[in-house]
Amino acid sequence: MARILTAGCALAFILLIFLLPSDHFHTGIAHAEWSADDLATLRHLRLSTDALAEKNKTNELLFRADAIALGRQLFHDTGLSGSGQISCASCHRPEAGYQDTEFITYKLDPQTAHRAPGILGAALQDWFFWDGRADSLWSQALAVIENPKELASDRVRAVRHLCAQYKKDFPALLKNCRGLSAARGEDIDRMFVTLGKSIAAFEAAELLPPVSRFDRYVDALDAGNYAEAAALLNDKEVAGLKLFLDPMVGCVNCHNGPMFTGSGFFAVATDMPGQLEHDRKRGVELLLDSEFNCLKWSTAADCPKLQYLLTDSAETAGAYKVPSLRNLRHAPFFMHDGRYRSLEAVIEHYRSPATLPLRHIDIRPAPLLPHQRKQLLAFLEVLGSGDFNKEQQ
Amino acid sequence: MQAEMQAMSRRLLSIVLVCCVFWGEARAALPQIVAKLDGPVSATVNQFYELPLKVSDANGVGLPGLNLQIRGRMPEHSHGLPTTPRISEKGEGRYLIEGVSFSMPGRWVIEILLDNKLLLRQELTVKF
Ligand code: HEC
Ligand code: HEC
Repeated sequence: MARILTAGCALAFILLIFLLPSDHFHTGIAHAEWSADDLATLRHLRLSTDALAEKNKTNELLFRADAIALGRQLFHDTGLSGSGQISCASCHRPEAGYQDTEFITYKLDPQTAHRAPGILGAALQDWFFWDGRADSLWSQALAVIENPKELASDRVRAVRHLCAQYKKDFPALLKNCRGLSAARGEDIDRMFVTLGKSIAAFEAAELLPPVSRFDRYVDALDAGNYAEAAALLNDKEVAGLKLFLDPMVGCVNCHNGPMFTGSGFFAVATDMPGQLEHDRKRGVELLLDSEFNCLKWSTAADCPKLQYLLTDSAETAGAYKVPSLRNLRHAPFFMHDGRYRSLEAVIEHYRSPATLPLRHIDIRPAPLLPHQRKQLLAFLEVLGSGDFNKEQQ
Repeated sequence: MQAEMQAMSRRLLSIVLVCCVFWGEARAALPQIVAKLDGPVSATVNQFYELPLKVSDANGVGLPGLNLQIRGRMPEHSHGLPTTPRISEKGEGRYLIEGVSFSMPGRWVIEILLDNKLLLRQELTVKF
């Protein structure tokens, strides 16, 4: 009897091994054994700010010290809000990885369709908001100021405040404030754009994710320093990383690049019937309507994203922007609508996504065993490692 | 501006792919169409590419004024291109496809259609 049981167990074990996504049951510190392809992928995922200039091409104030200083003050300035009570920092809290840990978004609008994401590294993205309705970081800031559910102000008020408060300290940036009383609509618009570009310059300069243990791990591999690599990621975390890269699991297909987002829009079964007006399909309409989209302020050659925008497609329905996986440490909840309270729940979602009939969907259930879900979670936590405030000091 | 655009998007490794397609209905009028797509065999995610295309008849005479379309997809996934590329005529049967981009690494298939019928199919691998 015992024999049969043992044999049965052995058989089950062997079967289990075959059922696992390839390659992962023996992790035992194989830091030196990454394939050349995997190493290339790891380097591609390592934190880098090289793309800042390219991604913020339409912001001529990028890297300008005075714009950065002005933007830093504006980010914390409650005078930009209609109520005079809140600033960008109320919902993107510096002490909490720029996440909305006080749920201000929901307090202001309990029906809100989109939760506030953390914004460290936002300047490295191609699209902004969950539906990508802004195509530049600077136009994103302007949308917030005029959104009745957020800062609830308007451009005339914002520009008046800008001039009254800051023109003395930033004469070069705000020289047009002199003619403010006679300013026409387009003059106001131009100053409003300067305001947005200053905030964006600050975000691009100072709101970048901290170097995580993952990044240091890749550095160590690059240097051939496997002892250091082993000290940086433990077996479980390396196993999680391997799962993350595994084609059967597929995370890296969408979560790639230095921010762990390829800035694409995909449908991952997070839509509910009747919620379609918050997805990429709607985002495209809003983007084309926006007064501050790239084509309205730059030459067409600087706006390839808009020139070749995907408009006529069934695939934008139910699709949301792929979010960054860095800096999730303080995130109080996940997905565009904040439906999940934990990363465990997100991983469970990928294991068995609830699909709607007849809807386009871009994921397949990820075959993850319980211990693999823990490994994947351990890896996601590595990406959130590095305390922002501490490392900035 | 045009030059800038091209500088930005060009990364051509230039392989030449020749594909002969017999085109059903119009066989009498167009016995054979030869389409050549000069484009990359491999590409990087999230870059813009432009693909020069030449369409000619069996004698090598360029065919201008064709109603061409482009389509891209990933055979292992359910989605197509993340952009809407544009095709412009460059004279004498030469065309330029601009605004091609790939949102995911892996195997992609690009298809050129003539009046919505398949004229040419090319595979390429997209990497990080
Ligand atoms: C009332 C809360 C609130 C305030 C105030 C606020 N935000 Fe946000 N922020 C949000 C929410 C909610 C979203 C997501 C909205 C969406 O996707 O529709 C967001 C999105 C963003 C994004 C896009 C991130 C991404 O990955 O797409 C950036 C950048 C950002 N905010 C910066 C700012 C700046 C700069 C200010 C001040 C000018 C500001 N926010 C003020 C709640 C707020
Ligand atoms: C087909 C593309 C795709 C694949 C594959 C994919 N994701 Fe996502 N991921 C998304 C999109 C899109 C969202 C946002 C969905 C939403 O907000 O409704 C998202 C959201 C998330 C979030 C929530 C982040 C936040 O700030 O709310 C986490 C965590 C996450 N994915 C991890 C993973 C992991 C782990 C895997 C592999 C098991 C994976 N993803 C595979 C596209 C993808």
